Amino acid sequence: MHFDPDPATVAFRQEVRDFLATPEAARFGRRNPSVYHASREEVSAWTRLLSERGWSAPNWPTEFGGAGWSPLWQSIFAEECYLANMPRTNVQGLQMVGPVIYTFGSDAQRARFLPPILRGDEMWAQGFSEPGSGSDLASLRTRAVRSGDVYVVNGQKIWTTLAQDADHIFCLVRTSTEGKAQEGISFLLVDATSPGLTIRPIHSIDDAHGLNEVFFEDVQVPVDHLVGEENAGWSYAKFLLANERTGGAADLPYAKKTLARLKEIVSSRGHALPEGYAARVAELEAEVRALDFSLLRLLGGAGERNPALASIVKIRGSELQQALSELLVESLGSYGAIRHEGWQGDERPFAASGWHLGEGATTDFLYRRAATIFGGTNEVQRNLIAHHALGRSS
Amino acid sequence: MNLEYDADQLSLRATVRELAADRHADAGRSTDEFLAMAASVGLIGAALPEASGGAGLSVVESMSVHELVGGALLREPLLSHDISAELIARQGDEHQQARWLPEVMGDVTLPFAHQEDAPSGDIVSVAATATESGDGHLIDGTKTMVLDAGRAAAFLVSARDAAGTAGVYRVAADGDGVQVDAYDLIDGRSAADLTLRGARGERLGGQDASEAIAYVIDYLLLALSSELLGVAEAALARTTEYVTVREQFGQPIGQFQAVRHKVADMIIETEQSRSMLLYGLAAMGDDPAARRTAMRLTKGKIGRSVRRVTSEACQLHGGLGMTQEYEIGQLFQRAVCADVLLGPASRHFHLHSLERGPSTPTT
Repeated sequence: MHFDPDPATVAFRQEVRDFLATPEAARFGRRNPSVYHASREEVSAWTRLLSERGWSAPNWPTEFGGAGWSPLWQSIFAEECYLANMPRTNVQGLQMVGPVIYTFGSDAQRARFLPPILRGDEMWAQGFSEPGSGSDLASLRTRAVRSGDVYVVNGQKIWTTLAQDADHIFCLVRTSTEGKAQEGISFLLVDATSPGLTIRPIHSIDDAHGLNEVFFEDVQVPVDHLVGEENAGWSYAKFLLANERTGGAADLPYAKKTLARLKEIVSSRGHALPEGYAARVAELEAEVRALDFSLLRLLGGAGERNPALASIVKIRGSELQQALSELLVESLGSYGAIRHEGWQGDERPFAASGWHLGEGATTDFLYRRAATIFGGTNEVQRNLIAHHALGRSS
Repeated sequence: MNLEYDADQLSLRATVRELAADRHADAGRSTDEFLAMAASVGLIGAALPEASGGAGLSVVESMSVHELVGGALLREPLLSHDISAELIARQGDEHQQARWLPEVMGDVTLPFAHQEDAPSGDIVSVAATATESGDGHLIDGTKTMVLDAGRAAAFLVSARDAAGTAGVYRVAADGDGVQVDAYDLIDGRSAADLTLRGARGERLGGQDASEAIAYVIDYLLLALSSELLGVAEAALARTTEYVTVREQFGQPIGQFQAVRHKVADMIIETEQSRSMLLYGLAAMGDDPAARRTAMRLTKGKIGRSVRRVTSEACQLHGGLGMTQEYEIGQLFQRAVCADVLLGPASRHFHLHSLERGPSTPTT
């Protein structure tokens, strides 16, 4: 064991920073970082810029146009982009379905779908959850019936992030009702402009429109948009969900940045804050440091020997997001109740009073209420941990 | 001592629930119409004597109104009106009461503008000034988080005169020198920052308003606590129902022990909050120092508890807890607002810890 940072990694982080500081890149840094979902145009242009350096797919092998970086370098890249307020690239395409296509897809699918994902020309959404199938995803009921050279799809997906900007939706569908639920699921690539496909926005409590319902009414999907084998889709889904082992859902960059804001608040306004506030910030700082090293262990491959680690990072990371965002809102006192538009405009009295450190705090806090729900609820994650340690429950 | 609602109180609570349900069913009805109806059944100024136009009841009844309004997610300005009624009744002279009480026990909104520094949660300091001018006063200062300012006909503004004595002044909302910067709150209600520059104000009553202001602030702390309790009860009821009907992995999720324990914890926090509210109700009759102490503890404790209950309610509803259209997320938003208005829980615990002197037990 040693703790000296690897020189190549140090150099890599600097290389990333240098790139992000160039004018071509820096112009993508968003002025208001509390807006989570950048416009499609921004995301597309940013992805294209990255793809020119071969950096748009950090987790893909170079043979498929990716950067081929280790999980650690992927994490460093994500962190630096976050600190520079860069738009998030299309996670659903680059991190989720891309690897499924190059691992299990046909040559034709790879040729058709991978290049536009890499360049940011096409956006994807994830059609997994249904109103009746959340944590119990395998119980999904959206049906795909083979009819000649198409599948006819009927059903409904929900919580489909950014479907409104998507060109394609990758969907888990039921192609058989025989045997166990997991054994009748297929993985389809669906054109979002298909006739019979309707997208309905869901207004979320953070006043955003990122989530959607997607309705399928006799939607025809070409058979050659089936990935891999019919009824083998569940294994591809597990592969896809396992790729989330780089701890992205923990959002450690957010935790570090918010911690820095909290410490700035304590040092600039500590006298005006309730006693105990600074101590709570200190406690959370300790949690952030611990999580940082848990993430480093995970990125170093410790998850192979210690399957609980990925769940731990997700659980602690999501709880930390909630605790940090809550503390930030608390620093605003009664102003914490204001809806985000209240902060717009320089004429706002409170905007001039120096409370800018809290900008976006309430919206952020409301958004982070979902952190313990998406990506596998923390209840399910705890079950996974217990399962590894104690075996199956009765 | 009897800590149960009597038949009349239960009947009043049922009336409030019905009114709330009707309001939701008929979204076309205006706020003015709703206020007039609420006033006609005695839901504004319920604790005020009949001679003042109130229902001649007590804080037990008036706080029941606020509790059930919170749980029903009503966004009508009942709270503002009730607060203003208390203030006018306690500080206004006979003529002012005769003119203004019927207004607030009706559809004329006269928000109490008191707090000056929203981030600090300070509810004691008043820096706004009232300078004698002609037969009235000119008011200068800033006020924050003034609820329902957008529909105010006038504001009841706390300010100190040249001698440093606290007073409350009625300032017309459309008068010269009145700047209203309104904003929406995350629970759908609205508030504003008020900047007053030489705004003409009529003083309520003649004597020092400190006691009246202190009482009204305590009343407001208790009212917000009551709202929070109502929100918790509603969140608990919806969650209990949801986990009973929502099935995953072949059974209602309420069968899973993890879920059962979470629901149990929500029940504990909600029941403890109800008990705390009783403590607060009992303390409204205490001397001002003891009363203030009790309200800080009440608001702090219930704020903390209900934040947890509503957050857990969202968690147990999965994605529905993030959906604006569904009540469960709205209850969470309401809890945040009611908690941070007049300062979040930590602020109250902090200020309480600074206080010296005895606190009077209520038994």
